[in-house]
Amino acid sequence: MAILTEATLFALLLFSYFYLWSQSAQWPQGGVESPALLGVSLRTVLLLASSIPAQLAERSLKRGDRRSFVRYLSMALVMAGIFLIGHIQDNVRDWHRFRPSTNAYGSLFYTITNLHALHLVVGMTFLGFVLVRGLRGTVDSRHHRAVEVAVLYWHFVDVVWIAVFSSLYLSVRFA
Amino acid sequence: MTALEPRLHGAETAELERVWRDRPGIAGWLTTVDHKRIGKRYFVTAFTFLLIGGLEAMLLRAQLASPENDLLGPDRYNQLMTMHGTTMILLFNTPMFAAFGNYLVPLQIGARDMAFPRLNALSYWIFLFSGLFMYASFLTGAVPNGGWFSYAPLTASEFSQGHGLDFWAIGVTFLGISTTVGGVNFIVTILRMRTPGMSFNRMPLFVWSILTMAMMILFALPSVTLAGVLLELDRSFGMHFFDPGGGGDPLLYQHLFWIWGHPEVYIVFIPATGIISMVIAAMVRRPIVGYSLVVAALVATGFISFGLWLHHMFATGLPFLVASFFSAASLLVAIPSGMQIFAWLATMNEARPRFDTPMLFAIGFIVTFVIGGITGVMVAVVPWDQAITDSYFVVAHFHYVLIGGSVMPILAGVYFWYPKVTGRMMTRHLGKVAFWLIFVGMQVTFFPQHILGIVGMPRRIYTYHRGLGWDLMNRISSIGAGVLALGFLTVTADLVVSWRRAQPAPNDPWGAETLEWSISSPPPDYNFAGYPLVGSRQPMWDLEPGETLATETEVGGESLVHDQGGHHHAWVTSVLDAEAVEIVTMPTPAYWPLFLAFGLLMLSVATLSQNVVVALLGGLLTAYSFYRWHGGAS
Repeated sequence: MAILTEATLFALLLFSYFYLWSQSAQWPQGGVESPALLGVSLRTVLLLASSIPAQLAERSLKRGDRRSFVRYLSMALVMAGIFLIGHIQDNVRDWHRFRPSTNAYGSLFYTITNLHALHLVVGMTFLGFVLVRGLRGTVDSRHHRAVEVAVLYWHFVDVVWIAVFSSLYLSVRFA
Repeated sequence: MTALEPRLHGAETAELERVWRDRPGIAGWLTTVDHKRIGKRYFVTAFTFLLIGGLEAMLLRAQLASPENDLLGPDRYNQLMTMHGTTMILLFNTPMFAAFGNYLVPLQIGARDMAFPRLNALSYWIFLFSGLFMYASFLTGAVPNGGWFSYAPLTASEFSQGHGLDFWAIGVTFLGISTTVGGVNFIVTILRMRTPGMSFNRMPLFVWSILTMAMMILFALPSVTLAGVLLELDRSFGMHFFDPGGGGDPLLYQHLFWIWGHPEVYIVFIPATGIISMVIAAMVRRPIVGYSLVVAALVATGFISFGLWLHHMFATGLPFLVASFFSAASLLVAIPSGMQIFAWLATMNEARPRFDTPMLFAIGFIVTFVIGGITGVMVAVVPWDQAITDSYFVVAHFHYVLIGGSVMPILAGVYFWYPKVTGRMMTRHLGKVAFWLIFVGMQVTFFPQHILGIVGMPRRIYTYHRGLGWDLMNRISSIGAGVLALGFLTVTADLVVSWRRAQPAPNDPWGAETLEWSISSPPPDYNFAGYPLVGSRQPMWDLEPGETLATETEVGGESLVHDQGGHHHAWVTSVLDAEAVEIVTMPTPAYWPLFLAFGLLMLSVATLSQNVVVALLGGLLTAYSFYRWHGGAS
């Protein structure tokens, strides 16, 4: 349920993005260059791939294999961590070119990518939380509700990124 | 299912009473998770905001009663007008249905509590704090003054200085958390907590209406949250979402606001129709005609309402095709509303209704709402809307729809369920006096405003010149407002007087059909000793005279009455058919919801004052309460 309402939030933000784009003579506005694709594409692949170990972790736990659960989950967390570091680096680099206060494009770009990053951090916290519980042994093949929720949320964070990536990075390049 | 336990008395339920009772005194008050206490609290708070909003309206009407009046002055007028709209929609109307839903949904579906009792407490505290937060603006002198929809660019920092609009934007965002959390809670409660046998096609219509409302909240609310957040980012952090100078567009704000704003009208209308369906069925003692069609109409209204938002923006220069589409959708939404009206009329037809106070309000609702609906069809037509937009015609229209379509059903519901909630009947005559004052006052106040709009009086002006032909109608309207206010004061007096002295109420004073009437008035803390067995849409009407509703107090050999071990136990069932009962342990009272809400309040204050220390403390309190959320009663 919470995921539905958050998905709506992102959909509306992207609606705002395309709306202002449609109203602007030039996009990105004010001679800002379109974002570079190479690094972010690699990060995207990594983030989307992290859904696989997350899912495998859930399956291992349901089968009663807690060792694999911890291993897969750690793997997903490391992949997510690399994505996050890359995002921060990109933000720092972009900061020299344009800022949220430069123009509406900047406001949208930083708000959307950092709102996603916030969701990423929340998702990582969830995964970390169930990882700790896995180490402590308070989740197992019969008590795995928290794991299901955390993994579902993680998939959601990934799916949202597909939408953000295609809107903010791909379409602006190829439109 | 055999082995029915007919009725439990005294010693039998002593353990249940002990387990479900709140701690005494202030600690119990602050920690309670009982949906009935939270529902009552929602009611008292929302009703207080109604009185405050009404007082603001009285001041506005006093100012407009005569031309070139200087009672308020332009600044104060704008502030009161903004706070009147904001209060009535956000702090009275929407939370009032949270009050009804909270109190009634678990009782009507035969449950012991909401699915997430602590979340429920949290959504109340956030509602209270966000209301106080917005009203704290009066203490600072910087009151929101951009109208209840706070359009940019009027509300951009260069045109609206001081913190007034920050109070509004942050308060609305903060309140949105409460509404969203409440919506999720209603949906899960209705899907999983229904008593065995209450399949989807046996749910009371009120429960259907709350389910529809909650679904709409999930999809509509993010939009106003986003509008508020982006506005605040523009104002406080120099961003340019709505600033054409920086490549933004003020129309984007209007889109975001109305993508929520129009469904919101139906968010406060749909549960009102649910109340009306319950009241009419009980008053004529027969089921609502066309149950399935009424449900279909509710859901259809919910869907169509998302395709209407642009009709608030016909005057902004939309492409012809777009305007036509939204005009058609706006006409279309009249169809399901009409279906419901005819279902009620058909139910009343050939029956002999009892004209108790709830029924009077129900009929007053139908009359007033039909008038509001007709002017609604008028404003849905683009050329007419172009002519009267931003005039008093619009003010008249939406007050007919909101007072007729939402406030009157709320009052019908108040008079209908008051005996259940308080265990006291209401006085015999005061309610009828109140009805006539409100009904007549409402027509006298708002009907002349249609005419004022047509002869050209714009909305949102603090005064007008003599001799424009507006004087008489404005005077009549202001007198009507006085009558209306007297009506609401009568209701308030009636609520208090009845609580103090009226006679005790029986379980089912109206001979109504749903489960809340099967238990005592007021209900025990645990609601139902066992789960009621439901075999139709009208469980109470299936009983022979003198018979009581059967309940089952065991699930798979486990008792729901004895050996509770201090736990709050409840039952859950499958989503569609309400089968396969299972016992679950529910959360008990705790301070964490209150602390979490307070942490969020501190974060709001910090955003307003840009104070890092408060932000840190608030963040810590929020995070800590979140972390301890599942823990015991602190």
